[in-house]
Amino acid sequence: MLFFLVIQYSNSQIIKGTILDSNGNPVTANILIKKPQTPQLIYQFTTTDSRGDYFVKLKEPLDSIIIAVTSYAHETDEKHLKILKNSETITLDFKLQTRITALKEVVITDTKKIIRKKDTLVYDSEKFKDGSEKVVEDLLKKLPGIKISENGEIKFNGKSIKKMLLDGDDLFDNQYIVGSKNMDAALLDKVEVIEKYSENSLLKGIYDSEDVAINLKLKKGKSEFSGNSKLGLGYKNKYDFNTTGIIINAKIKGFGVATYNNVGLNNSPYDFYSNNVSFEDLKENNSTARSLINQGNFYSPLEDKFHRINKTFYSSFNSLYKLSKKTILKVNVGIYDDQLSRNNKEETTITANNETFTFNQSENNIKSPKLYDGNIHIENKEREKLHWEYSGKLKYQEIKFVSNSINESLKQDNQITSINQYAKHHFNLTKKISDKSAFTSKTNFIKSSAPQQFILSPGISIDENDDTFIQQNNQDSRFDKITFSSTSNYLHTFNSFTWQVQAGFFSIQNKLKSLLRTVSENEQTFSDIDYSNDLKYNLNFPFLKTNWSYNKNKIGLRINLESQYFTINIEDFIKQKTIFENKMIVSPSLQFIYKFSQNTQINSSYSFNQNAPMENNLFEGIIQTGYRSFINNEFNLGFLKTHAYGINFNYNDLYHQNRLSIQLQHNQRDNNYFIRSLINNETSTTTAFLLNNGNQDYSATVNAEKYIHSLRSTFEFNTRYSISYTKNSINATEIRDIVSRNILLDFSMRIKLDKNTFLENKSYYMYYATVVQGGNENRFGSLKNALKLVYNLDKRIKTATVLNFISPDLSVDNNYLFLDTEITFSSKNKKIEYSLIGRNLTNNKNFETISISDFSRSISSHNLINRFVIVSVGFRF
Amino acid sequence: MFKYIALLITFFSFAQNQQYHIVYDYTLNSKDIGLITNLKSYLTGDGKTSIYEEDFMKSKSQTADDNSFSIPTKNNPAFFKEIHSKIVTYNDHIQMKFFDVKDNLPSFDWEITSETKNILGYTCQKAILRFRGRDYTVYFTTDIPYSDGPWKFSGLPGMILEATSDDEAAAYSMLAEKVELKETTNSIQNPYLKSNLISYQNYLDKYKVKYDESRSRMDTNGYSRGMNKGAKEVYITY
Repeated sequence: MLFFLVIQYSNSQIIKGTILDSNGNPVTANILIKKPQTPQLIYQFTTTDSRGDYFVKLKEPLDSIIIAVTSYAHETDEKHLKILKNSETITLDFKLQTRITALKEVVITDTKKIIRKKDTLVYDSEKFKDGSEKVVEDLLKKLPGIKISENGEIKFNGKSIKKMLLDGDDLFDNQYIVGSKNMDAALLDKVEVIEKYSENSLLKGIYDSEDVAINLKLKKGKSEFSGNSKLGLGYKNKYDFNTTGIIINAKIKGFGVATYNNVGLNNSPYDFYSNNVSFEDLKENNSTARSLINQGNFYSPLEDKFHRINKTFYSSFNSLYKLSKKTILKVNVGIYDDQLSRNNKEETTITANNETFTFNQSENNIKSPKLYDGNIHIENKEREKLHWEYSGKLKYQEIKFVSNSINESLKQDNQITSINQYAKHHFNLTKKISDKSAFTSKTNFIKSSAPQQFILSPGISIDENDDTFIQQNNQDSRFDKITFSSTSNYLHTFNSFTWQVQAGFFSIQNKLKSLLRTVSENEQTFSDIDYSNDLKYNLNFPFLKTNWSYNKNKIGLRINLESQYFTINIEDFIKQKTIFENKMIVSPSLQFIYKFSQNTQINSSYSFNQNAPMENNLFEGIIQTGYRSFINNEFNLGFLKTHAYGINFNYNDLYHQNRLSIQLQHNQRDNNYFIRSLINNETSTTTAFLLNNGNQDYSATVNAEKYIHSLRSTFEFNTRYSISYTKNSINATEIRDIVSRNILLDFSMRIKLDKNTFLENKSYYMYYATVVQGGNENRFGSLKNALKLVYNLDKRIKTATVLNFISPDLSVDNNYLFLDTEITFSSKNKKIEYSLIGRNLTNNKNFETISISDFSRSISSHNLINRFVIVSVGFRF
Repeated sequence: MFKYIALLITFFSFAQNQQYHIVYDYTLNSKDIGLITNLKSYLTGDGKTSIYEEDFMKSKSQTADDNSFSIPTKNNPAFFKEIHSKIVTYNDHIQMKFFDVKDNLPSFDWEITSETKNILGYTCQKAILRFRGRDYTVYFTTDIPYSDGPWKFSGLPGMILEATSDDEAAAYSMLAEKVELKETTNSIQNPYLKSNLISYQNYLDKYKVKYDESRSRMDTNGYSRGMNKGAKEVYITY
């Protein structure tokens, strides 16, 4: 319906009226004013009130308008209005007809593909930077939810990340810490956390992986090549050099790093120093051949930066080539070379069998590891429903260890050479069967060998009938390991749950050959059958795994069942025996989660594990692992059976700034390995044996945090109490029952003093006591306190000072004070950064600590990195 | 005869009403805490009332971790809008404590411009709005003659298919990627009928207290993981 009306012209034009439906009831409607020249555009609009009245005052005088009345329940009515003369108000009523033809039913979807980012969290990295961060890891630490473990492993909400991508490409493969510990944080634009990350795009929508990946998005507009360089020179003779380069273009991505330092730093994925599992080992540990001979003790309760005396060279190059749109080739190579040194001294008192004796030992160690690591990876996604990838790894490492040891009064030279060769082939295939099902298969072939040679001179006799001078002990030991595994997965998704069946086959072949020879003064070689091993240990097992999970409202339940059928074959060529055994193993696990509320949940779990003996639990021939230590086992093919129970309670109230978590854990072992030790002034021999009389342990952990606003302070409290029951035998005693108790308390307080000043105090107390049933008790306590002050002079000058107080044994008055400080200054354009670092300014030379067991008490000391000051300049290019 | 037809139509439209269902791709960048969230949101309405739902549930895996900052909501945040009386009732949290908020909105003072663009085949016209400290740009279409839109928005003579805002505090966008109009017998229920409601001003006061606290709470690196100043709405102006 279209009306032409002629109405008088006005200076302020007002149009009003009432809008009713065909029954005379008021209608809620929109009144649209359009200009006749542009009828597709709304010039002005208004809506009716509850009586159906409307009122429009035109923004400027118009001589002609279109007035349209729309309502979702009524047909649109439109009138053409010509305004002729002055008139204050025009009244225009409408009577709308009920919409007979309802709005056409439509479904309109966007045709262009929207990248779904629903499982991605994106951090704008600029917002987290305060100028103190140098490498990517420093920045990641600050992002909520992300934590970095001591070995460099990155965790998001407690879960280890699978990959660290660079602009979406997996440049670093398994060794992402090459990037996280070396890449310049300034390059980053955004950090994305991808939950449910799946490397396999074919599985999208079929299987939600639980994996998490981090994607580093680089700043755009950077040139194709960029990098940074750091030069640090210190007093005395301290160096810290570091250069990284990064190249990014459409076809190639590359990242390279070269570093050298002797200030205690390690930016590589490898670790030849601490007792921590290195990042590299974390990935390859189960398939690597073992080494039994010790190469020096580098343990210390202090942080590495105080005592890691090193000359570390590390270089790595990582590159990724896009051979075609869907085929990628990656090459990663790494070289590591180090010289680690340490001087240890130890006095040990043994109390067993109603006798007490003390012995002294000292050792000056130099450990020189060399490592070459090469990785290649090809992935092919050319075909729509079938993807494959191959990756290969070759690693060679050689550790030369030399030391001068003094055992009681015997001075000895130790020379140990350890080689480890590792080759891995991995093939992965994914076939998409339909939109709801897929098949994947993974095949691994890994070969590793670890020959070791230990020359000790002068040696010690292993022949009871011979007490002549022994010129040399020659211990050879070599493990070989071949692992073949093939796993197939069939995935099928129904509307609400995924059904997954995993079947596979494992074959593990272990070989151990060892021989100890002594060379007497007249160059005669002696060896004993008890000091040699020639053992083959093969395990073959097919397995089948099923998962069930149930999640509804407040309750979650998970049940896993794994069954394995073992075929075990052992050949001992020394004892001329062969064992062949079959075994069926079922390992169930159960998890139950109950959510009380948004903030509170409880999680309880039970699992029963049965593990086949490891290759280092089976050899019977004695192996010399140090100048005074020997080990072997009593043969037993029993599987280790552990029942693990756990309850976790979590309460986290962000609103009231309270956090509490309580964990209770209990392990009940049906059987376990125990140690029989024979210790005298000159030697210690330990024999591990499996006993069907198991043991158990209990632990309770409490973590709490509270923020009090009136004090601007955060208080954090962590405590752990554990008690464990075990057994051993010392110097031919009967098997004894031992109870050990351990208490850890740690309390920290953080205060924001003002905008530029932050203060933190952390106290840490540890108590350990161990009692032999019906016998003596050993105990000790230690205390650490760290006070940290961060003061930022302005945006470009920042200082941090840490004062550590350590009392390693509270029963004696022997305390340490460490002072470290750091000042950084950055240029205006952030291209150049200067820093001044002072380490161990209180100049502690040695550190003495105590360790105890149920039968021993040792006081040991080791040297430290001397006081030094280093000035460094960093450039970005 | 005509009467009967009219009656029939009334009856017909009573039993079955037409509803719109719009899926938006929603990205929120809380600039001052550097967190970007991307998820889908859904608007379902019949012209009188509507529910706008932000789909956090599907976007997060249920990590049972203590320092998880993803928002494990029981239900998705839902905005129940009474379009004519300009009341929006919704559930929002401050540091994971949830409140049901009743917001009596002022009349939106939309300014219509002559810019247009095509979204999903609909010709949309641009309108701008200053609301609680932020500037918003939206595109709406009269071809879908419902006066509604995502989040708290309404009051234009048509459906809003795109809404964006960008300033120093936050940037966000809601872009329609699916429009569905259909007859249904389902009616839209107010999910907050039994709720304990607080006013918008009350919510604002609580937010300010918690914001101040969060800025002084430090972690061991000397870094404060403070709350943001607000995202879609700016709560903190200092």
